[in-house]
Amino acid sequence: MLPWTRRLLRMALLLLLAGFLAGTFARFAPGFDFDEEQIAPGATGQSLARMRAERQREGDLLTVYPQALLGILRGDWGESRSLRQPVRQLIVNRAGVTAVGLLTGLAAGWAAAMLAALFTVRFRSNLVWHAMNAASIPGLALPAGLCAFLLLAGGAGGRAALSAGIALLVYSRLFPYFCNLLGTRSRGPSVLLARAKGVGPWRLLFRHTLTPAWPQIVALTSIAASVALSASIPLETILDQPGIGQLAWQAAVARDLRLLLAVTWILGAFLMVLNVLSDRTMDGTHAA
Amino acid sequence: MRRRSLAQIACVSILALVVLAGLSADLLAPWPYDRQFREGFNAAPSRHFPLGTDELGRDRWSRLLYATKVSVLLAPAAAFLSLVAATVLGSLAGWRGGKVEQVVLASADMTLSIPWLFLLLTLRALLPLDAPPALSLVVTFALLGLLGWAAPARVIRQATREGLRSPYALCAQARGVGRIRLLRHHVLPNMRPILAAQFWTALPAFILAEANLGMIGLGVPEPLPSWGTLLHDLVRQAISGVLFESWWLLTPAALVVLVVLLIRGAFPLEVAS
Repeated sequence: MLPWTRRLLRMALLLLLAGFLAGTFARFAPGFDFDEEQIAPGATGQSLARMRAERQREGDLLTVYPQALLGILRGDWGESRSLRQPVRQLIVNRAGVTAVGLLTGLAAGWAAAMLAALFTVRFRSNLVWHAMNAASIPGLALPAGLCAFLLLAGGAGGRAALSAGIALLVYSRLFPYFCNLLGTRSRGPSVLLARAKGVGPWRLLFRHTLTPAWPQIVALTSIAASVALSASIPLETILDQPGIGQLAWQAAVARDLRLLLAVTWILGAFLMVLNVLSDRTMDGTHAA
Repeated sequence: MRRRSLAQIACVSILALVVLAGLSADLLAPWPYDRQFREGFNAAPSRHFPLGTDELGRDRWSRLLYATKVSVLLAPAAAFLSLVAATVLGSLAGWRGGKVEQVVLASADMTLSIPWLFLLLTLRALLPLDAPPALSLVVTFALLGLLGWAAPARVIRQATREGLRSPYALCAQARGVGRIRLLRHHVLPNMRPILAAQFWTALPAFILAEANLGMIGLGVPEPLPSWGTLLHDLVRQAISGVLFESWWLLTPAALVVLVVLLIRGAFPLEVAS
């Protein structure tokens, strides 16, 4: 079997296991058999019996897991017990908020980190480095949720605060690495040779420092994207943004088995793709 | 021994003061953390209440001191637990290789394939709602420790493999040292800087993870205070729109930032390119 086919199969297997593990935890959690609707004033004996039967069916993992797998292959993700909507529809409706937040936040944070790193390496000043580094402090030292919440309290809108929170986090993670990477490259023999030949400082920076560092930059960006995805859970929950992160929180808190399986697989698949992208880029660099 | 800079010494000193204040919460706090003063809800700072009172009439200063005690005791314990798990599994994988290594690496990949915070909140949400606060507290930090093993385990596995192939290990083997002794007495002691780096990386991450969990309502339950619980209060206050008029409400956030920065400043880690 080809190494890549094996790797993909291994990833798929790990993802399935991770989903089943999360589902099993939820199944055996205290309170799994309980539904808030059971204490609703309008609940009758018949509706209670129906709810209990429904819970019992959902609790039978040996039936639920194969059903969930077959359903996903057919494009049917089942129905969320807590939100009373098809899981697929929930995910489709919410993916946009997360995607926009992640993409804009990632793009803004990445661009800011790259510009700051280029500026620091170009002018080689401690003062500039300290100023740029100080900007990364909130993202490194504040919990992600609080960071965005302060932005919200300061007057930013919910969506803007989500993007700004992610951007701050991405900037804080990327800036020191970009700075270090470009700084090391700018002291390399090829750059010294180019400088000795009279190449100008901007050309040295872009052509001889930034271009060869591109694979590492892509790898670092994919790592930052996975950090941003994790941070989207508290950010969306606290900012009350209806995205996948908030859905993950709702699935975990409500012990909603179908939703939990779907969210685990989606988040896991996204992270695995990012990890593969990062490994692949770095493998390519080492091979070269 | 590596010389420490003046800034590092200052960071360690201030950090030591914060830790000391947290550990002496019983002595320094003027009131118990759950004592309610029904005559003053949401009171401004005064001589009796240096940081005012919260919406239940509890002294914020006392709660901050007890929260510091909880966090400075349990976050390092969680980081240590994660390091122990990572060292056992990582060194076992690096030492034995073969199937053991494959199983450990696959488990690490599986753990890393799910966002850490999602896994944490899934597991934390499993606790019964009527669990005693002390149990919830220990479980929260134990989960932090147990879920943080994967990334350091991969580093330790690699370091073990390199250690076993290093000249000093080959020399010891040539002298007839057994594999277990080689690992325990030669390879692991040489990995001390790596283990220390993993510990100091995990510690601020755990502090922030507890704070994040607390902010979404899955941290340490009331009435026990932790930094996460206090930040949750802060969010509630901000919703009611009084955040920027009442600077003292921001003290817990400022303390979290300060401690995380002090840890990073006191034990700076080389940024690997």
